[in-house]
Order: sequence, then C-alpha cells, then structure tokens
Amino acid sequence: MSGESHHGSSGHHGNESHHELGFLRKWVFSIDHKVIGIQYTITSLCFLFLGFCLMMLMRWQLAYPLKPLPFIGHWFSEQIMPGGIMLPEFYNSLGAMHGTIMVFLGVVPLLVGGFGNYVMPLQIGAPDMSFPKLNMMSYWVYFCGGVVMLASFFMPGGAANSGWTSYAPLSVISQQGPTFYAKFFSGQTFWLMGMVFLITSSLLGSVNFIVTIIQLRAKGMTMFRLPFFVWSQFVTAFLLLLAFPPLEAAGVLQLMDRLAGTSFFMPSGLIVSGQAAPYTGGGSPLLWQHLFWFLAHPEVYVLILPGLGIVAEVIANNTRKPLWGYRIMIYAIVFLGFMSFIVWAHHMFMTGMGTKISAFFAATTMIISIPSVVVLTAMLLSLHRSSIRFSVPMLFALAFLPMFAIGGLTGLPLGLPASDIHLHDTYYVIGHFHYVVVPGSIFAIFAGIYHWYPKATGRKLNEVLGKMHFWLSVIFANGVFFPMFFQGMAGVSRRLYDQTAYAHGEAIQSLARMSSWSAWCLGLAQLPFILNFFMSMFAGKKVKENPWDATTLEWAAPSPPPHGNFLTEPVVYRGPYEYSVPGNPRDFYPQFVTEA
Amino acid sequence: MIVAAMQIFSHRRNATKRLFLGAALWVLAVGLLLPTATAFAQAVAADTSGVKIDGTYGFGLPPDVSEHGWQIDRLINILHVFMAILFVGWGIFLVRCLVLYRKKPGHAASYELLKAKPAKYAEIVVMVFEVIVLVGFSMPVWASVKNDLPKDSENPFKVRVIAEQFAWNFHYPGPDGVFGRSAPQFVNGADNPAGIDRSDQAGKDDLVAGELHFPVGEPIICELTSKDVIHSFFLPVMRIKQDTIPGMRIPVWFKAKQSGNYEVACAQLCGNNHYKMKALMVIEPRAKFDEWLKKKSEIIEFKED
Amino acid sequence: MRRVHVCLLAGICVGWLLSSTNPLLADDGGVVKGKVIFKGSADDFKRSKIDTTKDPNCSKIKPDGIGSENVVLNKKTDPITVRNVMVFIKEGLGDKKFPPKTEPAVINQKGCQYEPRTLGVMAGQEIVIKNSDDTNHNIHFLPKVNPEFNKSQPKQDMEDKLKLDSPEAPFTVKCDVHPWMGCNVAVFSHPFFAVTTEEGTFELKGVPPGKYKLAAWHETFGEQIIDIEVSPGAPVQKDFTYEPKK
Repeated sequence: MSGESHHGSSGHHGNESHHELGFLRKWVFSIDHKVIGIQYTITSLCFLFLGFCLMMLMRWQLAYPLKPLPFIGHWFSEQIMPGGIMLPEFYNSLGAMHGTIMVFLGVVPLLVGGFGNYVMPLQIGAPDMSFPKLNMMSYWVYFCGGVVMLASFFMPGGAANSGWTSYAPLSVISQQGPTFYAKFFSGQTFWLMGMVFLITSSLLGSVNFIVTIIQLRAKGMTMFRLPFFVWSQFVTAFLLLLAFPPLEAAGVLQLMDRLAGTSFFMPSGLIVSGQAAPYTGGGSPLLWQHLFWFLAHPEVYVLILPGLGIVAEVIANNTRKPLWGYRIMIYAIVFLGFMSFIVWAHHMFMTGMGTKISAFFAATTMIISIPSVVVLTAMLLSLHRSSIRFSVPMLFALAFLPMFAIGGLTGLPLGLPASDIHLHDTYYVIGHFHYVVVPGSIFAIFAGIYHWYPKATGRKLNEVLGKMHFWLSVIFANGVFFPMFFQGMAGVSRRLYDQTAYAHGEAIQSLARMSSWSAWCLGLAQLPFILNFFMSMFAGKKVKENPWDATTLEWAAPSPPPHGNFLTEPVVYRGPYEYSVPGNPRDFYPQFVTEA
Repeated sequence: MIVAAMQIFSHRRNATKRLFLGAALWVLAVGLLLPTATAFAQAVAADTSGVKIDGTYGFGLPPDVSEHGWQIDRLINILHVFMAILFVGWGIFLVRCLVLYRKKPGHAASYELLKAKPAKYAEIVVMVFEVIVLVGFSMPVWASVKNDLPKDSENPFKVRVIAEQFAWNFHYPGPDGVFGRSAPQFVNGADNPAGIDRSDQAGKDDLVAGELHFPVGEPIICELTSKDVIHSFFLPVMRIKQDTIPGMRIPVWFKAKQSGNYEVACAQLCGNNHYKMKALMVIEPRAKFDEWLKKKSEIIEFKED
Repeated sequence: MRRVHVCLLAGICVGWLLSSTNPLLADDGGVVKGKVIFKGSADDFKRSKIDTTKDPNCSKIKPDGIGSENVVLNKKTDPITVRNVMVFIKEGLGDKKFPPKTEPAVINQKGCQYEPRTLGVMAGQEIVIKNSDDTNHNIHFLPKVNPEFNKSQPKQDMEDKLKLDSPEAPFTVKCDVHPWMGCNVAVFSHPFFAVTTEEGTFELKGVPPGKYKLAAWHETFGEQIIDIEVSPGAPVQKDFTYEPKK
C-alpha cells in the first residue's frame, strides 16, 4: 500500500484501529470513499431534482405558449417572467441549464461519483480508493463547479442561454457587454468556468478509478472475476480521462474569446445586430463543434455504461442465474468505448459535410450499434430459464431493457445521414436521447438506489412506495417522451420556445400538451421516492449484510460498512455471478465463500 | 396522512396498506387519463399573420413537395418497420420470459446458459440490414442531395440565403443573373441587409427579399451563409436541412414538384427569438415567378403622407 | 416700503414655486434655438420602402409599408430641414451637476418602427420601452460604455424599464426580430439637448450663461460643432447646415 493514503490505509486493519474523527472530517471533508459516494449521491440527486424542476417550468410554456404561469408565475422577477409569461431568453436559459445540470451535475456524478465511488471499491474488495484525498478533492471541485454553475442564474442577463452544447459564435456573442466587468459577470462566462471545474473533477476521479481497479483488487480477484459493474466503471473512467481534456481546452479557448478578445471560434466579418462585431476573426465555429462532440459523444457512453453495469448486477441477482455472455459483454463495452471516440461527427452531418466523411462517420455509427445490441441481447437472454424475483430494483432493471431498446433503435434513423436530413435537430433527437437517459440511465440509477440502499444504510427501502414510484414513473416517462417522436417526424425543431409559430407545429400542439401533463405527473410520481428515501433511513426494515442473497464482494461487508470496509480481508474464489450452481444447497455461491 | 404513510412502513399486510394500494391504483388511472384528455381538449388559436400555409399537417411526416423527398421518406419508413419488428421480437421474448420464469415454488433457475443460435443470427441480420440501408439507401441519397449539385448546363436557378438573428434574407441576382459583390461594410438593416456593393455593375440590379420565391420544376441552388451565428436552413416540406455557418458558403439544391405556400424554418438555436425565425416559401409557376421578380426589382419609394 | 415687501415676497414665492417645479428655470438661463437646414438635392435622399415580408404581422399592421428612416427630410419647410438631429451642448458646462429628469423617456415600438427615431436621455433617467404591436419585438441596446440590454417582448403591451448610468455618445438600439428597426439613443450628464422636430427646429431651455460648444449629430450626415455664447435673458439663434453629397 502506498504511503500517501495514510488515512485510507488505516482502514486496512479494520475499523478498530483508527481514531474517532470529528463531524467535519467524518461527514464533510471525508476521505472515506463511502462518505464521498454518499455526498456525490445526495448532491447529484438534488441537482437532478433541480434540473427536473427547470424542465417542468419549460413545459408550461411549451404546452400553453405565452400564457401566464398560474400560481407560481409571480414568484419570478419581472425581468424574466413579466406577468407570469415566460420570456424567450429565460426559456433558453432554462433549456441550457436543464441540459447542463442533468448531464454534468446530475447523471454523470451520480453514476460515476456516487455509485462508482461507493460500490466499486467494495466490489473489488478494496478498503478505499487508491488516492482518498484526490477523491475528496474531486468531490469538492465538483461541488464548486455546481455552485459556479448555479451562480450564473443570478448574473445580469440570466443564466447561460446558448444551449447545453454552447455553440460558438452564439455563445460568444450572447450576454456580452462593453466592459470587462459586464463580460465577466455573465451567465455564459460562469457556465464556462463551471464546466472547467466539473471537467477537472471528472479527470481527478477517472485517474483514481483506473488506478484503484488495477491496483487494489482483493486476493483472487482477477480481471475476469470483476463484476460487470466494475468493468463498466473501468471503461467509463478511460472515456472520461481521454475525452474530457479536449473540452477543457475548448472551454478555456471559448472563455478567452469571450473575455480576452481572441477569435478561436469567431470567423471574420461577423455582423451582429447590424453592427460589425469586435472580433479579429479568422477562427472557425466548426472547431468548437468538433472539440465539443469529441467529448460529448463518449459522454453519452459515460451516461449509459455505468447504467448498463447496474442493470447487469440487478438482473443477475434477481434472475438467480449467471449473466449470459459475461465475457462477450465485457468485450462489447471495451469495443464500445473504443469506437465512441470515432463517431462524434454524426452530430454534425448538417454542417456541410461531404459524402466521404459522412459515409465514414455513418459507418462507424452503424458499427457502434452492434456492441450495444450485443449487450442488450445478452441481458435479455439472461432471463431465459431463470427464476425472476420481481423486487423493486428488478422492476426498474426490467423496464430499462425495452426503454433503452427504444432509445437505441431510434438512434438508427439519426445515424444515417439521409434520414437525418429530416430528423436532425428536431424533437426526434430529443425523444431519442431522453429515452436513452431517462428510462435508461435514470431508471438504472433508481434500480441501483433500491439495490444498494440496504448496503449503505442497513435498512431496506419500502416495497409499496417503491412499486408506486416504479409504475407511475414508467407510465409517465413514456408519456413525456413518446409523443416527441411524432413531433420530430412532423418536423418540429428542438429548442423552440413556441412551436405554434409554425404550421406543422401548430397542428400537433396537442402532443406538446400531452408531454407536459405527463412531465408534471412524472414530477408527482417522484414524491413516493423522496418520502421513501428519507423515511426508510429511520423506519425501513433492518437487514443483515446480504439481504438480496447476492454473490459479489460488497455483500461480504457489514451493512453499512465501517471505515475500511471489510472486517477481515476478503479473498475471492470464483466468478461474480455463480447463482443456482448445480449441487449447491443454496441458489447462490458468493465470490468470498470458500465452500458452500 | 403521516399516520397513513407510517402504516406503509409497518411490515404487516393490513387494511391501511390495501387502502393505500387502492388509492395508488386510482392515482394511476386518473394520471393516465389526464394527460391524454388534456392533449385533445383545447384548440390552438389560429396564426394571426393571415398567410395561408398549404398542405395538411399532422402526426406523421409533413407533406413532401420535392423531387428527392420520397427517397428520404422511404428510408425513414423502412427503418421504422425494421425497428418495430426488432422491438416486437425482443418484446415477445421479454414478456414470455417474465411470464414463464417468474419465481414460484418448485421452480429453480437453470445454471446452464442458453445456446443462443437465433440470437447470433439476429445479430447478423441486424448487421446486414445496417450495411444495406447505409450503402444502398442512405449514402446515394445523401450524395445526390448534398453533393451532386446540378451542372451549369442544367441551368439551375441560384439564390443566396443570408441568415441573421432572427430573419432570413434571400438575395436574387436580378435580370443579369450575376450576383454583385457583397461585403460586411455595406450591410444596412433597413435597405441593404445583404451588404451588396451597389457600385459593382453586377450588383446594381440585385435584389433582396424576405420571402423565398422560386419556380416549380426547376433545379434550385441555395447558397447559404450567415451574418452572425449558426442557423439551420430547414424546409420541412422540401426534406432539406443545412446549417448556415458564418464564414462559410454552403450550397444545397432541390427541385419542387408542386406549387404552394410553405414555411422556411430555423432548426438551430440562434438566440432569443429563434422560434420566430421563419420565412414564407412561395413555389410558383415560372411565369408568376418572373412577374414577382420584376415587380420586386422596381425600387419602390415610400410615399409620405 | 410695503409695496417693495409685497413684491419681494411675491417674487420669492414665485421663484420658490418655479424652482420647485423646475429648478432649471430658476437660475435664469438662456434659450438656444435654431434649425437644421438641408442644402442639396432632396431627391438624392428619398426614403425607400422597407420590405416587411419577413414578418407578415408587420405587413398587416402597416399595410402601406414602412419608410426607411436613415435620412428624413422635412420637404414642406422652407428651406428644407432635417428631422431627427440630436442637438446638444458638447463642452463648456464644466463640473456642474444636474439631477436627472424625473419624467421617464419613452421608446415605443409601434407599427414595427421605433418612436422616436432619435432619443436623448439623462444619465440615471428612467427609460420605458413599450411594445404597442401585435407581434414580438426584441430590443437590443448596443452601447459602448453602458451595459448591454437585450430583451424580448413576445406580446403586445409588454413594458420594460431601465436606466443608463453613464453619459455616452449616440449609439444604436436595434430590434433583433425586425432587421430594419433601429433607433439612436444618447445619454447626457446635463439636460441641454433636443431632437429636431417635423419643422426641423430645436430649442434648448435654461442654459446657464457661458461659452459652449454646441453639437448637432445625425446618424447619416454626422456631427457638426459650433461655438455659442449664452448671456442672461437673450435667446441665442443658431442654425446648422448639412450639405451632404450622395
């Protein structure tokens, strides 16, 4: 064990040897991976809720354009919602911040920072992460990024409003002012600074993950005995490590364009509002898009891979049967990770791409769909001749499969350049990636929370509330996103403040209203979960260390695990999913048990 | 309320719990009905501008008035049929598993994994299908729509499209058929939005309109530029979409098979009033178009009171 | 004696009244007036009709079309005068401080045009922006000194208020939805400015006695500066003349 992690290493010898830490060191500036994981989880759940609230606000304007928002419309300042009517710039701010908060402050920190941090070291039998202090720093840098991002709401001119993709030149010219003070204290500048923090945090985290998975595996834990979840975190960490630096550089370049008068992304001869824009020119707006999507496509897999990992764990545990094609799935996601670096320009088919380049990116996009299909098929086949236990995490995992399939399949018309001509930048795109992320990643997150909550708290979440939460969520999530495919087909552009401005939008305004009502109901559907989450901490059914009769290593530790995780150093004897082994009296054969 | 909530946490099945389950079912039923009902409840106020847009619009693809559009529509349809088959196939397998293999007394999971020959074949089918749609259906359309511009011998009609926050400008070469020089310093919002150099001989008869007019049945080339930010030139009924990027001039071409009034949309977020960045597209017979062009090129003086 | 006292009292009362309603009249300032004359061929500066088809709503509001306003000449006056010229004291007031005007300045978006075309305001004076049209507008201030202001008014009768705190030379205000819509706003530290009317005249009231540089600014014809001297009680009559070449 390396010397720098003196606090983490103290946990090596069980929890009795380290001195009692004060509240601040134990719960706030903690270096324990579990506390950091919980910090990440709580913070990012709050951000998820905030991002969802922004969307519910937007949905009012989309359903009832230019009508005053009842009841709560007057809580907002006259600057953004005069008389309760949402202004287009506020709508754009909400859209940009919804995307940013959900992706960079919600789902990724929750899947990687939360679940990755909490579960991964437990699953490999490590006492902590390799660099516990780096881990703590990663959380606090993320926290600062979140604060800076939220601060942008309070800037004159409101929060960033150029979309979560922040395409230059719009993002450079918007919310500008003649003085440095005005340029600096603007939503877009704070967005960029927030992004720099968040990227730094992810980079710190990813280094830590890679080193931990390679270095700190327990005795007997070979690479092909790692649970699939750990593999998914491993691939994700590489994606973060390699994809984020270009965006960090791009973010700094755009910051310079805004503040220092450079022209990395600004072409010559710009005329903004009838006046020559004060940029020397010579830059390229497409450069930003390339740098952005070089990150943001791997980012999509960062959003979904850990989700696949969670679902695989839950499925194996609740089918009481080994995962079908464990090795094939691992090869598939490694291949997926690799391919995700050479598909980015399929987001840019409409930028004036020639046949050859678009053929290349369309081909890589078709190729990357194969491993996704493989993973999905493997999970489906795992259900065959199993014994399915319909627990709440399993319900979410099962709903994940067809919903993720819809998300994946609808990527096909978008990945083919010809059909993308009509569907690009319409609601079809929104429907597609929300199907991947909401009933995909977010359902996987719920599955994960219901699955590992007993480990983190020593109590189970309530089943009845859980089932209510599940059924309402699954119905309304579809109600929100399915109409979007029709809207997209009809040609309604995304990021549109009022679709009734167009004949094709006005004809199907009813669909926008249906989405909106479903979204508000989806919001209500989260109340049982919130209630459950907090009440079960005190009133949930108490459990022992292995309530789900699971096989992986985290269930060898007490619930909740002490600082240092395991009471005795765990040793691994077999693969991760030895369920229903013939000749074994019990239907599970844990990795950490010598003989049955 | 709190008592009821606490009751759920008791680990016995009792009356309150059943009551709660019943209530949950009701919430579910009402919740299902509510969004659907509201979706069809309220008619939308008609557009105040008073320009009639042709074609019927609804849940599917918008009307198609272009000559190449059917190929894109066919591809979209093929893909959706394929997706539906795949999804239904997976769905049947999933539902079958859920019904057959639910946990019940006397049933245990099998340690043996399925020898999934059909799955392997399905994978191969998916791969082959993807190759076919890519090579056979997608790339040829893309090449012809985006790359193979009509040659000069086909006498295409050229229009320059200049996007700005938040309006479209359509720059016509005028009777001489040659575009005049244009440069940023000549831009003036009121009478020279395209920045045409009026001292240039070719530019004297150029004209700029706020509506896109072009003749039906002739190849049209639109050369797209932008003054400020990235916009996207989207003609839903023409199955054409192309970003307009400042500092670049990108051509697209199409041929209309039918006259009428349609809309030009902006498909890329371009700022506050992105939603109002639309223009009227008027496809008309050659004679009518020439008449419009002639009328448009007369300089009209504003009559003061 | 009594008469003197009554007169004094009345005088003080009147003075107090006047000073309380308008402090500028109290310090016995002079009046500067004149007109802005156009010399040349008015036919070179015909107003063209603006193509409003970009927004059919505007064509509906103004069926007869909108005239360009880069140059608006008063052809009925003799000689021909120029409308929308900002006349103001550019130099000579020294460090004198003037409280901002209490009544707000109004920019009205009416008939897809700005009213007025050229507007002077005092630093710290309230500006009210109205949308009188049944369409959406997006008002965009493009100053060089003051902070940028960029807001949309998607509905009729929406109103915005703002204050500009620093004096600034005339700058452009644009509507981002209707490219032809523009107006000019100048911010002054003093109240001695006026915009030429339909008669082509201007009048500055209550100018304290002294020597000044008086400037006229027109968006197309540019700026002219002349020297004036204001003495108590005697109005100053000064004309500007633009001789533009096409």
